[in-house]
Amino acid sequence: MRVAANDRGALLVAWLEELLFLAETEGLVPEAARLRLAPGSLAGVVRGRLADARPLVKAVTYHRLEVAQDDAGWHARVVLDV
Amino acid sequence: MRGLVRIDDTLWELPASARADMRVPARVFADQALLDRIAGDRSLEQLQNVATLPGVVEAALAMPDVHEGYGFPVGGVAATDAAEGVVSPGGVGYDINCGVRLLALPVTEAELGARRAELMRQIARGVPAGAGRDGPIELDEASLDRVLAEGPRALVRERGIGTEDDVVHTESEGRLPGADPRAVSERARARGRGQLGTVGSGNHFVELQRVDAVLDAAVAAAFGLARGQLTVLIHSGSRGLGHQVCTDHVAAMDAALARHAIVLPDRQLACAPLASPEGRAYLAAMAAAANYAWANRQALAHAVRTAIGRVLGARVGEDTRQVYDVAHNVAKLERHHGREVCVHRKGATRAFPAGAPDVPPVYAAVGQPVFVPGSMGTASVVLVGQPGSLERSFGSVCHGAGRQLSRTAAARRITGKALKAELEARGIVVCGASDRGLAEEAPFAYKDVDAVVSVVERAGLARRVARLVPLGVVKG
Repeated sequence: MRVAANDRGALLVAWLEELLFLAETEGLVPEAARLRLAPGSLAGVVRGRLADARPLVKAVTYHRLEVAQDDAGWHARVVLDV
Repeated sequence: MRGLVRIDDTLWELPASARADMRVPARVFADQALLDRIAGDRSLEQLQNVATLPGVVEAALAMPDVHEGYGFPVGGVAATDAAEGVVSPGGVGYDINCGVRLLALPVTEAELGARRAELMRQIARGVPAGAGRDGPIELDEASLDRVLAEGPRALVRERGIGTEDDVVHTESEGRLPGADPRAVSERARARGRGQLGTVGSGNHFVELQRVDAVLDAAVAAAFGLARGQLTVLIHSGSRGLGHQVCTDHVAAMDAALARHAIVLPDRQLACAPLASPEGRAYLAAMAAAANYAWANRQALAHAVRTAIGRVLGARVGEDTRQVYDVAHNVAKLERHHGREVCVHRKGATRAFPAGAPDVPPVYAAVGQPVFVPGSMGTASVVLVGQPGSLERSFGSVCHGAGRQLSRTAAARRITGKALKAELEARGIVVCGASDRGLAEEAPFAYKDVDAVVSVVERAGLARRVARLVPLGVVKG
């Protein structure tokens, strides 16, 4: 899958939305992913199994979204609507 | 919160001067006790954020059931100028046109008697509950288009689901103008195609009730409600389709903020001028999702009628009337105080008084019905819109009891199993919920619905008509 957005926060949201959509419509429970991050895009391959993906996430929000780097590395906060 | 000024018995204000970026004041309808609870989360700060939106007029408003939401608080009302203002998908929420529909049975609790458990079992069979879940209705692309464009009328005409009488007893007759199925993304369609006629999860439900008390005899008679009578309250929305429409347009508007020179205190408030391509695209898709939600509640009501017919006879099913259906997550173009505005209601119900436009003729003399569900296992209240709502709250009122504990906090305090036993000990039949889902909706997680309703009544926004108590519930 491949998603595009203007900044890393929006990329994170878009990427999680891909997983949400596959869980709800295909029953994909993701188990591993290889991702390639480029400026403005994220591409990769997701592996998982088909199962009853519960509890389903209903939406990935921008509410208090945060992606930042500090001495300890990257940290992110994203709020999911479940 | 500091800077909060008391305006009168039930209204408080944070003046626009409270923060440099506020364009209008933030006002809260509440009493002291509710205000203390409201101040316990971020909802007032969120309301101030709403007051910064370009083109917001008069004041950002919070109802007494307000609580923290994504970006906008739940229980908020914001009107933006139709010519110069913005529309914000977050001001409507993810579950576009989440709302409630009330059905009145021609039967009393006494007449139902021992058949209550069987009736609940049949209702639970007919209304799939829980996240995801395929519904009973197969929609091909063309019929989904017609549902998005026309709402429940498409189901009446093509499938005999519900009646024309149901449609005229629905806010906006179940059809928002400007709905464009082509504005709804393929992804939203994929999520919505199989979910028509499903309850969903979270706080959604189908509840069997008894009219416990009539508080305004004349209006109750106009609504067709009498003491002892059975009612069914349906609470659901636009399911995955609406969530996806919100998701799509929050992302599109977030990406266009710089182009529109809009600066926001929270990205979830993403918005665009009503007249911009992004604004128009959202309005067209939002209206289509709202129509889908009304069709969804129509399909649920049809399943309830079928269940009633099975247990109490086909005639009773057919004679089960729709009192009304109200949206509580929607944006509508309306005229208030002499100007066209886009009223965002997120967790707020339209409450038009007698004589206002768009109140169905049958209720024109009394005003529009409003339903305020209490928490699970407690009473719900039927209200009627009052002139004060047009004067003070863009024709709006509260939508529920309002959370006071998060879902996680509620689930920490009680197990679903214990709660179910407690409700059943009180004679309430509980069907269909997951253990966790039930615990999250524990009554103590909500404010007292009577306290909330008392505020909007004293504020002159709506008046109490009847009180409904639960007999059985199918939980999402």
